[in-house]
Amino acid sequence: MEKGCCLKVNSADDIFEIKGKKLSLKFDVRKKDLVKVVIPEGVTELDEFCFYDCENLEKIELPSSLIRFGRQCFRGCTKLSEISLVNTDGNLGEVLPLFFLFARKKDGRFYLSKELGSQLNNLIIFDHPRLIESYLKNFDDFRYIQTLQNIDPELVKYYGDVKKVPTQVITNKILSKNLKNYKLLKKKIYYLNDYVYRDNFITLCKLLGVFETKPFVKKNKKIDYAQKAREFIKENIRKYSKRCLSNFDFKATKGFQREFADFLYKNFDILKDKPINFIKMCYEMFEEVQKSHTTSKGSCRQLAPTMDFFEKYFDRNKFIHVTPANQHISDVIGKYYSNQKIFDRALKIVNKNKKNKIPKNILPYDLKQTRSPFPKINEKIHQIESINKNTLRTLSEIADNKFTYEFLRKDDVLNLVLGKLCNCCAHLDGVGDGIAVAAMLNPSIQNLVVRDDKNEIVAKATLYVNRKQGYGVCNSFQVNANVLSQSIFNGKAIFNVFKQALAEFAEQYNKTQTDLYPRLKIINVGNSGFNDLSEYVSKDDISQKLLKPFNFAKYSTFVPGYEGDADREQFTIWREL
Amino acid sequence: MEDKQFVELYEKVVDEQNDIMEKTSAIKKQVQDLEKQYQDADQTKKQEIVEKLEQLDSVLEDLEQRSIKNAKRANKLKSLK
Repeated sequence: MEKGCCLKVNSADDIFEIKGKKLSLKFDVRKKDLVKVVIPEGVTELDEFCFYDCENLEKIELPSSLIRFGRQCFRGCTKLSEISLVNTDGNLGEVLPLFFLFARKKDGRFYLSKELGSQLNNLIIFDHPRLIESYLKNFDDFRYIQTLQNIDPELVKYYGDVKKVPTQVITNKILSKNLKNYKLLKKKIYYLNDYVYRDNFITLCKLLGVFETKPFVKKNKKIDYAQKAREFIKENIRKYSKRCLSNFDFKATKGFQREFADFLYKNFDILKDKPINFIKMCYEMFEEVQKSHTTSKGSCRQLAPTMDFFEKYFDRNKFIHVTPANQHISDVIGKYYSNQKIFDRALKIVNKNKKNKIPKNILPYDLKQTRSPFPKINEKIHQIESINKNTLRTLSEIADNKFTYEFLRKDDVLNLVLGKLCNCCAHLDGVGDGIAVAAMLNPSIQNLVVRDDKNEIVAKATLYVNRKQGYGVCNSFQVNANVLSQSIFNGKAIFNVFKQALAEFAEQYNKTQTDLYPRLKIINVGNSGFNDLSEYVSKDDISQKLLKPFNFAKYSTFVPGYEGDADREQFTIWREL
Repeated sequence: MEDKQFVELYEKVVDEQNDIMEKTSAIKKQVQDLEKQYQDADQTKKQEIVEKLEQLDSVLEDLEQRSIKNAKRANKLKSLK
């Protein structure tokens, strides 16, 4: 065979072999000898590397039956300048319309010129995204096309597969400037292909400005997001945890997610040396703020309110949160935030209190006077209270109140003989020895006694406090019979002393309570039974109307050695207002 | 005056005093609640609160008069003893 001759395939069966309908060159063919070839009708597919390195091949005629090009079948055919379609009126197969896009039509034939690459570039393809979607998906040999038009084959393939890519993006000459960034992003992202969706990837590219012909302009300052993205991806994306990525909404173009993205990219230099958890922490901090400080248009929230909230975050009441981690975060955020003064102040506070030593107040609670919006009515209430206090004092003077109260200490042996002094069984050799013993042993039970002007015990009562539920029960009021007979006022006076004692007790108890137990809210007293003061109890003023009849049995806790009168009706002798 | 009669009078003064204190406390609590509501209320709600307060104010007026009367009775009893 002479070099340069036209070689007809159908007349040289020893050069080509056809398996099924797939055509390939025979093993011993000298590829350099091929200048022009005609593919016989009936062949539907060219095998992989079929004309690989046929460097002198200039012309080729394709049959109408051909529907598929094998991979890289024309690679290295540097002189190939003409592709002729034998029958343009017939069925040209699925792949040939692609060549209509590439080739020029002349005399009923289509030719692929040498200069076609520069003529086609990417515009022909990308101006017809629907065509490219439908035709490229069955076409394997993209590398060949690449040699003609310098299109990234992966890119073409990618767009062919993704129907959601907006036409606008495609027509934006995306390859002109940012292809490198795109490729780099893609390469890096592909490492995470299992859990990064392609849609997200495209959106990420868009978010980072990869497809933009002009870089983002913000505050008169050009920011090359693509560059930032490249750096970010390169340095961090492998470290970036799966969870963090899946939480992050790449599609966001504004609001919190966008803010956070900006934050990350802008602080790349600060963040790149930080441990992986740091980025995650930042994210959660931002997220926390977003959740707790969102406006009615939560998704549109901007950075300023976020930062306002951060200022509050570092106020005095939040010192407990000062840790090296969030101190550091505040530092980073402070550098990012434009209002540097606010964060300098926050940092100052944080640093000052980083040891978390807050001086304790004298009172364990806040004490401040509030200004009433209704001063007149409050003044009137105060006046009535004042008048009634005076009346009470007058009544007390009439009753000749000479009695005082005392809560007996637990180590006082008088606890064991109170019954003897007060005409009841609460003594060691009496039926009520249980009360006597309980008052000395049980930390929730204490005896309350009333002494007369000679300092002798004339009355007793036993108080039980339920610390967990915040109530008290005071039972077995007993009074020395002689005292009651001395004056008609003594009974009432002693009862009033008991009331006073219990009110004082409740006040002191609540002052010293820690957060472990609730405040004491109510103290009740049994009406019936063996109370010498039953008469006064049942006639007692304010509270009895509120609770009578009230059975404490279901609220009471069994205390070994003391059951009280839990199953009997109760009257309130003191309650917290 | 007999002891029994004196005690009855005394008890009456005490009962009256207790009643006044009870009602005053209840109103005090209501006023405190209204003060809290007033801070966050809108204009119409504020108007409602003010109207309620006016009602309470008239009750307090009555209580004040009763307090004064009762204080006088207590003083009279003290002088009789």
